[in-house]
Amino acid sequence: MIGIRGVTKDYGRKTAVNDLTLDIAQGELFAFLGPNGAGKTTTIKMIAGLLRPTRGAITVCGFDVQRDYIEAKRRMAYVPDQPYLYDKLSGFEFLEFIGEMYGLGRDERRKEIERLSELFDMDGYLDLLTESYSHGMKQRVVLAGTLLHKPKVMVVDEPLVGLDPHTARLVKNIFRDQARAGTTIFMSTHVISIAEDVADRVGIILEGRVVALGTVAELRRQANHDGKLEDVFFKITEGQSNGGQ
Amino acid sequence: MRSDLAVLGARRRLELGNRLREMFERSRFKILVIGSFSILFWLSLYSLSLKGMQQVQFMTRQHSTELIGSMFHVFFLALGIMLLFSNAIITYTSLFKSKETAFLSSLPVRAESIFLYRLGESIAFSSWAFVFLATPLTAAYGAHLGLPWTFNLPVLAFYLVFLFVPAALGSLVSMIVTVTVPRSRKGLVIAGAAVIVGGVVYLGFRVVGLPGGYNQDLRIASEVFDSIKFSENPLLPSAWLAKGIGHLREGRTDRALFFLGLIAANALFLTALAHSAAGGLMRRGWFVSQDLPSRKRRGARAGVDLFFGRLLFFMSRRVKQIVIKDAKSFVRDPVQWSQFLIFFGLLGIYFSSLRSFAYEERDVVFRNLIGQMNLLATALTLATFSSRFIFPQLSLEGRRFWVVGMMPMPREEILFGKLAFSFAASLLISEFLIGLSSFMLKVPVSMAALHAVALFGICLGLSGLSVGLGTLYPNFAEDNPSKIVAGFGGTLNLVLSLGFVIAVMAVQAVPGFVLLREGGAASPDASSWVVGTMAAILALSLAACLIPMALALKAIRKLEI
Repeated sequence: MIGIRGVTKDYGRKTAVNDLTLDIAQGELFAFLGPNGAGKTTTIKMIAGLLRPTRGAITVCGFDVQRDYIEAKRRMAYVPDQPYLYDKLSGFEFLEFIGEMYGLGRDERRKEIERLSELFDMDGYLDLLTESYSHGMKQRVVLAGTLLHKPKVMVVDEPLVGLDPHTARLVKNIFRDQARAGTTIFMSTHVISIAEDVADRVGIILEGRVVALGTVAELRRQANHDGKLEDVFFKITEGQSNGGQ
Repeated sequence: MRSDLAVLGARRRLELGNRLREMFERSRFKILVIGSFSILFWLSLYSLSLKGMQQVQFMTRQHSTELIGSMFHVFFLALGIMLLFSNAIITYTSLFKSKETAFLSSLPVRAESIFLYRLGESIAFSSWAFVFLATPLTAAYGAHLGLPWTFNLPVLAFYLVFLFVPAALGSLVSMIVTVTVPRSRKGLVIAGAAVIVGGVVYLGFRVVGLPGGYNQDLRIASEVFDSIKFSENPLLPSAWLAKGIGHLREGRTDRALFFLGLIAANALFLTALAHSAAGGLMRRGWFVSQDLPSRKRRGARAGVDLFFGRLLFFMSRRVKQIVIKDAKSFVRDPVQWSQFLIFFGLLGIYFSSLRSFAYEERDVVFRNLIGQMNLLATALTLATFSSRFIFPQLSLEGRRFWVVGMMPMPREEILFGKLAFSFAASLLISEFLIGLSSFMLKVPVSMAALHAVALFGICLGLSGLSVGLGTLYPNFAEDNPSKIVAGFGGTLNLVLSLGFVIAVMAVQAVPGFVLLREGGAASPDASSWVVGTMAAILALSLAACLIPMALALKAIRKLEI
């Protein structure tokens, strides 16, 4: 569903992502781990079509995100790390706008908004202007917005930042359910435990290169360490950093 | 199913409706104040324009019609250029730097639709310039000529179609420049500066190279307007606008319609061109603007720090650091300083070319009058810029306010830092300009000193007003300075700043009047008037600075982050 072929992204002389090749299958929940500045957000933005690769190509559901960007985006949903909402629209109006942008009919929109409002427990505030929302409330509305059109691919940047434990668990459950239903999820995160809990496969990126890729069990074997994913992550990244020096 | 553009338009209308409803529910007083000030501003401009036209007629008799016609050509050309620049800047910010565009780009929306949606916003912003500057002028023109009020209706149609010309052209220029300039920040800055300097030098040569010479029999003002005949070039849309309105005045509807059609056809053509180009240019421009590498600033730090460190030797270390932070933020944002450079640059060119009009050969009363007009132009530009750049300074700290708010220093010092930055920057540029004007006009030393003191007071008062009111009416939720300025506090600040400038100008005109009464003879009596006036100006300026600053100091202590 997501095909990344030899993708490199340069900012001037700095290479943020270096010759990345990945295939994410339908219904797979892929977690992208890495320290700050490793190239996670750059990769996510290239998949979402917000950045153009310097070299290489990315396809979503078979559509090139640069050439056929409208078709690719119709099948995709993107959740940025900082949720964007219109301050002077209510949550309901925002969801209506998103639904209409994806071509949903009025009845279908209303039905879905009602379902998602219940799912995310947003009934109490959906009619208030979003300027009065907390970060967690905003994140719920944005997540609901991404699910409205039933995307085939979800690209999510740091989904748990600023969320309370209750919402964090809700988000994890929703991701699992979505993946089970056939949605491909590409998620970047600093929170190693979420990757351990829900991801089918994990990729570790360091200085723009994927240094480890596989299931959690495969990564443990690769690191020759049978502990928590956090320890595996540190062993792999520290080993790579030392090797690179 | 609606098109993506229709959905975007509907969202904007919904948002606007919510905004207005909220304003009517919560801020009726604010609406009343803004509405009253707006009407008052419009009426003042109308009345000033009417009086000005009557004065021109009195001074120039049979030439008044052609002279006022020339004024319209110059006015519309200046307004057109201003709108072209502002639309180019708005397009760059709204298409390539806005969070909303990033959000919309993640949705299945065509780039052309985002472009048209943004163009509509840009035109809506520009239309304010016409509402508050052009409509009172043409309404006064109609009243001056005794035309029925219905004259204004077709004029509005002219304005409406004309607005599309600079908007479409500005957005095209902005997209092309973004896509074609060298893809590094350094290249961007160099190319931007080269374009501005090139334009300024070209205009400078045009004005300086024009024939001057003083002829007693010629009308004073028409000399100036004759020397800027280029504004009547038949290829300029602003000239079509002026000519069309001229034909309306004469009741030649067919000719007026021709010019209306000419503007409309060009507006449509340019909009269609920009729209079809936006498909490729907007996406390329977006990627170019996102690809700009971050530049290391370590090397530059020493220079800026050293310069301001020495310039502000009288300040405490912490206040100095706040000033340096603000100065760096300003200098590193070309969108901000380019506007500053354009307007003050144009003033500089005009002042440096004063001798080409042979004004320095005129009598002292006339030279003083021109000097005062220059003082007024500089002060009004300063008022606009302090409202635009200084007023939103505290609001722009926004979510970062805790950084300075938590520092181990009294919060009051933050305000003193911003006051010092504003005062020092405006004083440097404006005193240079007015010094240049006095030198070129060869005004008497006492008058030159008076103008310098008046500007000192104006810089102080405007800085105090902008910093003070910016603290009393902060908007921490908004990142866009244009939107912060458009709020109640920004409007109040602009109105009070203009009022303050007019008050200082009225006071400083007293010695000029004495000079006029005495027929231009310099006398000890006039010098004592000058000294007295300087004292009055300083008292007025101190009041304008200290009152809002005192209120702001009280407010910042209570400010909750």
